[in-house]
Amino acid sequence: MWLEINPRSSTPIYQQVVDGVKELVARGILVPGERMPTVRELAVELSLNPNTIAKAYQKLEQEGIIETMRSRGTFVAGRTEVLDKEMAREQLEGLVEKVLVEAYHLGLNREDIKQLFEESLDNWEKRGGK
Amino acid sequence: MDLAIETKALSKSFDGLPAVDKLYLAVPAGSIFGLIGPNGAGKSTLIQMLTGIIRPDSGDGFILGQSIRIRDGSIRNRVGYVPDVPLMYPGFTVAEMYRLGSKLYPFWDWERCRELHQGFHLSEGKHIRNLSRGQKVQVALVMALALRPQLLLLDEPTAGLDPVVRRAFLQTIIEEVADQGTTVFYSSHNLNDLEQSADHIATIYRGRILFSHTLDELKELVHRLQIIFTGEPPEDVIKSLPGLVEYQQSGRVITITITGHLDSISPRLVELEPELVKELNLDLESIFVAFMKAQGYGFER
Amino acid sequence: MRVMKGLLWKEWRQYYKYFLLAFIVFGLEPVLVPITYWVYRSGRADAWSDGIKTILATGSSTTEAVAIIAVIVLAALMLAGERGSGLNYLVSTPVSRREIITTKYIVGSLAVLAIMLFISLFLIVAGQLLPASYSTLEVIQWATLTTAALLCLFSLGLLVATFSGGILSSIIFAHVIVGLPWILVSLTLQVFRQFCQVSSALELKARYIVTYLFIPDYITRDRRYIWSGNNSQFIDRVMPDYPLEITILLLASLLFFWLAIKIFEKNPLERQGELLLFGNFKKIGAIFLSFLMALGWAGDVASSLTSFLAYFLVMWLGIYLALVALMRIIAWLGLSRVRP
Repeated sequence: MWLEINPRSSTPIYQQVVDGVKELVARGILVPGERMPTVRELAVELSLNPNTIAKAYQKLEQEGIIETMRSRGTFVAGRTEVLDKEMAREQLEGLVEKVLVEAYHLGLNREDIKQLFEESLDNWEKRGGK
Repeated sequence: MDLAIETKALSKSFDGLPAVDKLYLAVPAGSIFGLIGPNGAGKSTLIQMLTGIIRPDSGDGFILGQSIRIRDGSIRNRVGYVPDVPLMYPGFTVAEMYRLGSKLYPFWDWERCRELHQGFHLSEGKHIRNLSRGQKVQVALVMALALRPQLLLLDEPTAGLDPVVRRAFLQTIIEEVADQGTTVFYSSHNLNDLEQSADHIATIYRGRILFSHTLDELKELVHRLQIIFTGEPPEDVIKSLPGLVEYQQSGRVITITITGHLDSISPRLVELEPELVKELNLDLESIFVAFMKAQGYGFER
Repeated sequence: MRVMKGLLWKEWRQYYKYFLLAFIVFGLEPVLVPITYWVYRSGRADAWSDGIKTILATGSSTTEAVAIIAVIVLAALMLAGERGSGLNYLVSTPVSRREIITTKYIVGSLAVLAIMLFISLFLIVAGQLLPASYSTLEVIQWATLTTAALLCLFSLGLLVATFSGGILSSIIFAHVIVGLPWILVSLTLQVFRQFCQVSSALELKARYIVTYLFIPDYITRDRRYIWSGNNSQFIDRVMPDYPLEITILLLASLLFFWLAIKIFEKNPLERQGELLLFGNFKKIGAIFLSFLMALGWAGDVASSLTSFLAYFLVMWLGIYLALVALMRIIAWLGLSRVRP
């Protein structure tokens, strides 16, 4: 399973793994029900500290992205209904604001921003994202 | 047991000069713990005290919960050691060294030994004195792992090794930690090895531990920021920011390395109304140097 | 104890070639010489055993000297020789220092025992099969006493190797210690002869004491020769008391072994095994060396007993302080070259 990890990034490595897995799921490269590599397998494959991978898996499980079935392994979780749209929106709001701040400093106006979002969504869906 | 290694005020002097000076260290079990420091800081002396080669002058040390002062050798039953210059017996062949290891260690695993030996492409019949340094380190590592260790003590083992051997070495360590939950205590002044695999880093200088943090904590404590201004950059204000370690300016772009949490740094920067603030990547070496500078220690590298 | 088995295997594997060499070296006279006689078949039927007879009776100087040196060299090789490489490895394994030195003691002693056993058997069997000028009893008496003396020397060699730095210094120092009773007494007698009348009775008494302290003197079979210091003439003979002497030697051997354990357990293996004199040894060595030097020098210079004593005390202190200062300077120079 290929993840791009940059040990020099200011983002902690475990968070990069979490983000990487989330992206793969979002893009449809990892499908629900698909078996995830074990902590050991992934650690060896990426040459990372197994404790880091374990931490990442813990977080992924907390966020509901993956689930562990005893003695069968770890699998990508099925896509659950967004039961709590409110919570989801709250989480995303923060990220969106960050994007808006950047956009402001880069000099984009409201129309430019909207256009950017539309185009990105189109591209995303074209590539198979959901 | 949650601490694989613990020392309390451990001290050792040679000819009146302290090599290790009231050192306090705590290494959590199951971690990959990196110890960095310049030459002569006391890394090797510390490890040699933990393995029993050198006796401490004062203070206490514990490996796997047992005092290093105990005369009985059995505390080392599950401790593997790879020194920076693997010594062993020059007149013995590789196979004979393995044989000796199997007789000395109660948990020796011949299968693991063979597996690793073949993985490193070593040859059994060669005499130790005829091996290159890299091969000696590999033999020492095979032996350190075949004894099924709970603790691995590595003293600059990859110094001077070619990248292929070094990679194989690190892979093997990672496998061991993943499979066995072995604690790895790794002293090095090569930070690249540690950057990807260590979860804790401690620094030793003049026989004392200066800091000991998880890698994630360290990353939170040192930042390299690129700040772009529309007008004249407020040099003086930025230069007087607390925790500033490096300052570079080219035109309207200021690059700083600063210690502290981003939460406390950001507001001050936002006040100055910059056009853009971007966080840059930092390699472990720069983090380390910055942290040390902030603490008041500068190193010539 | 399973670890001891591993160590025993290691000691054997490491040193078997040296044991073989020692066997050849010990056995050169007693075994090889008779064989050459048999090959060349010259002289009387029992002429081949003449040399043996001499060895058994007096401990012929070549075999005796060679065996003494060989045993001390073996001890030095087995302990001092391992410093710096093997010993550092070994100490990081689950063996205690006590186990390390005990196995060396056992293996070395067994080797000496085996070599002597083999030689004795050879001599006994040869003596039974062919006409010989010695008897089986003589062989047994010689063999037991000699083996005990050699074991004692091996033990002493091991003890010295625990605190001296390298192979060569161990060998030299061990020889110095062995010869010490002889040196001390000869020196003292010489000095006193200058100022007082040393009666020949006193001298004899002193020499008796020396002969029991000087280990090589035990390697004789039917008599000890008491040599006078000035001319190489023996002034008396003493019959060896086998049970007593063998017991003394074996007890001394155990004492040296016990001391060796105590020192080895405390002895740090610092700086990759380079020069590990443990602190106090330097002081003791200095006190000692200055004592000897002062003894000789004051003896030369003084004209009466009182002035001798005065000179001796002053010189002893003076030379000791000079030696300590010298050692400090050497250490300081050494440190300024090599940063730890």
